[in-house]
Amino acid sequence: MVIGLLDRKLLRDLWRWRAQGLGIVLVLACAVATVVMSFSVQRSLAETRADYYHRHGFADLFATLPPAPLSLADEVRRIPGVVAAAARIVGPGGISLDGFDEPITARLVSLPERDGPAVNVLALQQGRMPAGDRPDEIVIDAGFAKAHGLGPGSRLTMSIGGHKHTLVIAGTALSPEFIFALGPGQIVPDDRRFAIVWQDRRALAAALGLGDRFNDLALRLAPGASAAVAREAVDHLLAANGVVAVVHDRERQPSHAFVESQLEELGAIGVLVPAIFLGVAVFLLHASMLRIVELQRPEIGIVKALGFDDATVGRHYVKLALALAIAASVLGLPAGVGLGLVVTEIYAGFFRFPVLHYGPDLLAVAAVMVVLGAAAMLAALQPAARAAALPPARAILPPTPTSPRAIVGEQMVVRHLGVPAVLVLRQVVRLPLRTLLTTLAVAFAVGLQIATLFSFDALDEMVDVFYGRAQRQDATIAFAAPLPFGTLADIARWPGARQVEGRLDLPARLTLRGAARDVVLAGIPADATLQRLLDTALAPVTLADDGLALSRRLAGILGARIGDRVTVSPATGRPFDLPVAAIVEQYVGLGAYMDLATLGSRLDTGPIVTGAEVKFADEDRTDFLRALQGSSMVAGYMPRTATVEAFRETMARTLTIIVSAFVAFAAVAAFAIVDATVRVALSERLRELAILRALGFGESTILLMLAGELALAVALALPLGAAVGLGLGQVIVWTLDNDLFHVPLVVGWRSYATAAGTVLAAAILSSTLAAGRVRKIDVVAALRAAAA
Amino acid sequence: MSEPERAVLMARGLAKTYGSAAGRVHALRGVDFDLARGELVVLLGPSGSGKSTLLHLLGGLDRASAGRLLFGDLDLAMLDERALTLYRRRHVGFVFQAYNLIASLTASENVALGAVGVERAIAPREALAHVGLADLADRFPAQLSGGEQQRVAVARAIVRQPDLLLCDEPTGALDSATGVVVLEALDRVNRDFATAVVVVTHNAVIGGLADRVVHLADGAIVRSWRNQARAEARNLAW
Repeated sequence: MVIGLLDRKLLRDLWRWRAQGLGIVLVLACAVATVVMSFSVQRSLAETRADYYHRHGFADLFATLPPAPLSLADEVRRIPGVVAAAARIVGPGGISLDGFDEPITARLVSLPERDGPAVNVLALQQGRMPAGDRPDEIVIDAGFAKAHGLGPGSRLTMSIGGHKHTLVIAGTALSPEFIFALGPGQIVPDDRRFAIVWQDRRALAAALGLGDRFNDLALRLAPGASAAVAREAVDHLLAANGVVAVVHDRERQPSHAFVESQLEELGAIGVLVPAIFLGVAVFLLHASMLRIVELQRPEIGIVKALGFDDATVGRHYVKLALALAIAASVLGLPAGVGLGLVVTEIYAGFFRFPVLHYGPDLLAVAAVMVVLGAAAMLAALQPAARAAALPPARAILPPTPTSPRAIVGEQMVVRHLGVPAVLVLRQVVRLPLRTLLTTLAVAFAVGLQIATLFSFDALDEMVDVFYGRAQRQDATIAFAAPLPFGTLADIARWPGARQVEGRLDLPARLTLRGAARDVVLAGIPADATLQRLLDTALAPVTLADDGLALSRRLAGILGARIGDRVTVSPATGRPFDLPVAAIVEQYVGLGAYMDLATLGSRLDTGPIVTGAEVKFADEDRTDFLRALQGSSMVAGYMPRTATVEAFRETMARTLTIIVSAFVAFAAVAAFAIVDATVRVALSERLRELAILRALGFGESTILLMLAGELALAVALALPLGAAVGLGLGQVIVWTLDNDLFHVPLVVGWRSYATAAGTVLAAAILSSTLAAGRVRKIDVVAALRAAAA
Repeated sequence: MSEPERAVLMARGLAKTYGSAAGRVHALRGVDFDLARGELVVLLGPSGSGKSTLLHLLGGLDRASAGRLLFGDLDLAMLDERALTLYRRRHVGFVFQAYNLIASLTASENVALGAVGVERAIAPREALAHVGLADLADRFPAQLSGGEQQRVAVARAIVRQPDLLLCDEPTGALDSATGVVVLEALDRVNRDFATAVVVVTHNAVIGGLADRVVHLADGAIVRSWRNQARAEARNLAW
């Protein structure tokens, strides 16, 4: 009976308060939806990838080695833990396409033998596998085929091993090994300028002059086998056979590492942002519950006078919060599951998984229900305790009016703005907690938006700094093999070439006081102008002749400060020590730089270069590209504009998608927060406003007062919200920071304007809706109730 | 009816102070007060005289700062919060000036709220019939007039057949004619159920309804008299 009646009251109260409650429910629902969406997306992508890897036998270990006899592969297969080993041929190639005047780099990979081990099995998308008797048939990666409109039957002119070949596309395929195909020097995939081409092993061996040898191993291990142990065994076996190989596990496989970093990024932001939403929702619920308890004081009083105990009263308000949480789940769960599917499909398209496994993360659903329930109880705890502790004799009386305090400058306000303005001011000063709660709620509405919107500003800043201020070349060329320094002079003579700067990319391990990191050490001219280094204030830095420049993140990883001596151990060559001369800002990748000439002098090879930064005259671009196409030394060509485009595209299709969903939720939440705040504030003041109406204040004056209070709260909330947004943004930036991308905390004026605009629009809309309620105030009824 | 053995409630030296040492307010200053079974007492006095405070102490809504307050063998001063709650539930019915109905419950549900956890409670509709509102049982408070709302509040108070019915300015928000209807309801409850009723009011006319009138001023009883005969509620006017 107790439960029945009070619960009936609760349900009817909820219905009566549905308009006010809807705002709170919407914010909670946004939190629920973001959690369910994020986790479902992450889980689905992770499961899809795991299934893809499993079905297509994605290798666990990879080895690149000088050409070796096939018999060596048989020995590798006998290593304990190795269940399959594909001995392959991998080599560079070039593609010329009519209508595309830039050089296209290709990685040629031999097709698995028909009866060979199932390692990195292709997922055919179009056409068929090459016929056994057609050495001229190839399979190309579906991304490249799509980018250029190629398909089965299309012909490609390829340069392999210094010779031109005309090949026919038999099919297009996806491979777990190249979910993202990253060309030489590329940090983000560029489907138009890099291709994976699979060809029959014998045909490729003949083209590259390898005969019965192989130069690449892909190994699958038994479930549970240690990759580290197997890698050591492979290393040992190859070394024993006099083969110097680079053996690595999945973590250093470029495609896997890229996908992994993307999923990690999604995971990080997918946990953090929903957590922020939930925090804001809990705050709003808490603030609203405090106000509801205050509004229901007389009811609390009578229930207690009737002999209901404190615990029952407290429980009643906890139940109210739980009911709101349940309503939020009813809205948020399907929204999260549905949006999760949409977002997963977009990602699956980007990640090019051949199949998609989407399923709501039931664990996340259960967890979010538990967390939401716990959060709702947490939010309701203090208000419920307050209701429980309210002495019945006090509760049945109207709240004692607080003594009015004179406000400094009050008379001046009266003179200039009239009595209503003073009432607004007094209201704010008399009830600072209420003003504070309103201001904080609106500040969170602003902050939530800034914390999600800033990602777009950060992306612009990354592009501007990394590809605008730091990199000023027209294109970067990667050589097929290290070349003498003098090659640069040859390139400088190509038609249209205006400026050429060499670079030497050297895989090396940097060590400092026990901390170590494998990086690509870049040798660039000390006075480089095409690829400039920027200090942490983004001012250009000149490289010291004999010192290292480390990117901020790398310096952080190594714990390096200016003057520390870092040991540089090149993959091939003797180690040497160098002091850290500069810490540079770099938003993409880990960077270690030193003077090109100094680096050359430290190597046995003497001054060499592995690539060049070039600037050419626009009008001579075609001639320059023709010279490039004709050169056999070029393995990769990356125009800066294309790289920027690819970078933007990559970001647009990864981080931006989920961030956009968050931005949308933040806007909804902002509207809901402001609306709920306005509605609760109006309910609190309904009687007071009725008295003012009876005293002869017009509707417009009353509306002005309501709007004035809200305007004051919004005015206070905007700068506070900006600070909240920056704080939340900083947390997001810390969470997103990884070796690939360092997102800067930059908030552009557009984000501030959007956040402020949304809140202002919400305030205006809510005030307009409130105006309707003010007009409907039954002055007589309200006064009678006030007098009673 | 003033013999101690017939008293439902017996207060001795009852005092209540509010506030800190600096700004202490003495709402009640050592009041002795007895209430007999079936007695109807009207507490009169100006605002701030302590009559509502006394009513709150009698009803276990508040605790005395000093003195004893006995309900049978039960010393209310010794009860913890839980026991006070039980005391209110089992023995006391309240009627307040502001009606204090739950807006989201119907008249009958509001009355039922008063019956929760009380074994001897009568049916809510019966209580409503007693105040002449059987036909309006399913209406919400907003659909009732002030007098009707107050009668629902009376029905809610009597549904549990309390030993004490404590009314704080029950007609304060009502016009004379409506107020009389509410007083009639209270009078009927007092006579039909032999419930001891205490009515706090600043309206001296209502004193005519009482067996005894107690006048408070500045936290103390200044006068007390017994009516030779109780007036009929319908004959009262103000």
